[in-house]
Amino acid sequence: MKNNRQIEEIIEGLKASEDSNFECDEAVLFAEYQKQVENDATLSVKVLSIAGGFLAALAFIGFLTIAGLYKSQTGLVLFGVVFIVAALVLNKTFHKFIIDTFSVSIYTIGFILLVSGLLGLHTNHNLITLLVIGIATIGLFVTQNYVLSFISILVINGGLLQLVFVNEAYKLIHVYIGAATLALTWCMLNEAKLLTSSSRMAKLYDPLRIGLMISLLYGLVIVGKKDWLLVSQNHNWFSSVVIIPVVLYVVNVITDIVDPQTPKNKPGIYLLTILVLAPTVFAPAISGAILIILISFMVNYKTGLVIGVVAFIYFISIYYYDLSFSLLTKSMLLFSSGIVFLLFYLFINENKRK
Amino acid sequence: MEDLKREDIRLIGQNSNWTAQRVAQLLREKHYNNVEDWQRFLRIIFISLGIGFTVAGILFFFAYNWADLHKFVKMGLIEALIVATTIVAVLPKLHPDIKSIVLTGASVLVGVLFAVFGQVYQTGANAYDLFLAWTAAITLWVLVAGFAPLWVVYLTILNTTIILYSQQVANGWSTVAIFTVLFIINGVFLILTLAGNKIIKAMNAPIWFSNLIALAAFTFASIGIIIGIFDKFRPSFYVLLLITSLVYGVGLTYGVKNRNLFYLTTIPFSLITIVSAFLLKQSRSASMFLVISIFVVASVTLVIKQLINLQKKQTNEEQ
Repeated sequence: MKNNRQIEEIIEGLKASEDSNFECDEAVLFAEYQKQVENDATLSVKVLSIAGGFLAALAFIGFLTIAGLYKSQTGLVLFGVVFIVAALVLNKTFHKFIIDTFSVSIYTIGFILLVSGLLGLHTNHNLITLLVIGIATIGLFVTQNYVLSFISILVINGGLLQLVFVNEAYKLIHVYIGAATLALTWCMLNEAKLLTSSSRMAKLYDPLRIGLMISLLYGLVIVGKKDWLLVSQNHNWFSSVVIIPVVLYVVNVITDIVDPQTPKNKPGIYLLTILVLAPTVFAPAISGAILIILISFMVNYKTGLVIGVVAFIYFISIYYYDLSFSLLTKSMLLFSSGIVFLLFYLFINENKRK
Repeated sequence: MEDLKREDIRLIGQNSNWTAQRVAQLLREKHYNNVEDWQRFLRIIFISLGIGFTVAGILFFFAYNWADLHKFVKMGLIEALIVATTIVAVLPKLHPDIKSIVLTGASVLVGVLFAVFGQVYQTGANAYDLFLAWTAAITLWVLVAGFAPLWVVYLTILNTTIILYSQQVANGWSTVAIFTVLFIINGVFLILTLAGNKIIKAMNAPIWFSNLIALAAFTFASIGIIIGIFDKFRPSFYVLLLITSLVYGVGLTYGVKNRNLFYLTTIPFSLITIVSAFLLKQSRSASMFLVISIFVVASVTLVIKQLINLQKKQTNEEQ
């Protein structure tokens, strides 16, 4: 957060350092910074407002259940719609972070009421899911609020996964993972383009980034665990067909950014990447986590890096836990990969000294 | 314009004639990681993966419990490994980070040694005394290394020891009493971590580490108190209440003084869940649920409002 003097310093500095064509709307910029003071919230405050919103929604659902208000299905649908609309209107009218907890809670309650009402009316499950996705998409475009946009993205992607399960089309989960991988990578590699496109897109960027990352994790968690939710692991390489080339592409981008002068290192770097990725062809969850780590570190996105590292450790552990080899074989596998990584380390250290 | 942050680039990019290329260039120069960052990152990633996988491989090897392997060979092997890794950890040529990572691997191997001991002498690999011995054996290394990930390993083992002790020996302890002990232990470490750098300059724990212990301590306190509310009243409940209010008081003061939003959000949230549980204890009627949901929204909103005011005040003071 910056005060007026600091903002002035930045603008003066830019006028001095940028070329003569540089123009900026100082009045608007000041106003934007002022708004920032009202709405800037650190991660812990955002988490607090989301957690509080969910807790309140939970208590409210408890109230409805005990009061027996769930008996009228049409009533539930009606209230659901009213709550969702109220959340969106509130956010549209007051651009303040302060009402976030309230709007998160009524937005969530709205979806729960709507879905339980429609389920009670025996509506087709596909129809319900499509409806929820549609409403969340509208919500995403209507609000420019961090927390609501984030929840909308999670609802949309959760809905897409629900479609996979409702129709028992489990192979399509790999299409979902592929699409989520491409969307996340595109979004993070084109940060500058998205930030300068429209004011709405720029505001949507941060929730979009974290939302897509968690949506990708949804899919990876499902294919990462053996025999979970009826999804067979036999087709896991479908996801790898997308993830592994994307990782290679990202590595290419990274080498261009980090070290554009020495293209002769590139074949070595590719070989190293392929060596690390080859054993994960049937474990796309692991390569997916590697992608999240690389791309987050590249753009210096710390939350993403932490998410990636935790996901990586989890997926590796679950992979070895599920592996149907004897402990001795697992031990040899782990030990030899450990030695390979130590050799990589020595290799990098040697290169540095040269 | 050295201190152009990502947020500034975003706002100025929106309100000036900067092109996407110029913004991309600025992001790369000012915000993205550079060659040195990547080199350090890759070094740490590869050494961590190397040590992690190797130690896991060794752990699995002994878990296999090879019957043909004589017990002296088993224990001899692992002791040799511990000696070898510890020697690597004191080699003067290595970078301090790398030494600490190797020492963390050695600390885990000590646990494997005790587990093998338990296996050979049929004491069971999860006996609390093995964990206690493990904790005691690596204490000195943990203190000397002063390496946050090793501290995380250490505190995990310590907490496990307490939980195993309460299950295997102290059967009379109530759940609230166990959570009280866990809260006290983690709370003490939290205070030591935060006050540490004031006493010893060199002791400078990273923020993520103190936040992690704080989160563990606050979670133990909240769960303990919530169980205590629904349980029949026990003396340990009052002890927990007293200590928690003391620690929370100190935590909130620390948060306000240092403008640390982490403490100013986690402690209020813990208090809000505790009050909600208390309200639920009074009555489980429909109207009480409604009251709770309104209470949660109102209190969280109030907390956020206070935090925003605090931030505004801070910004203006700097002017």
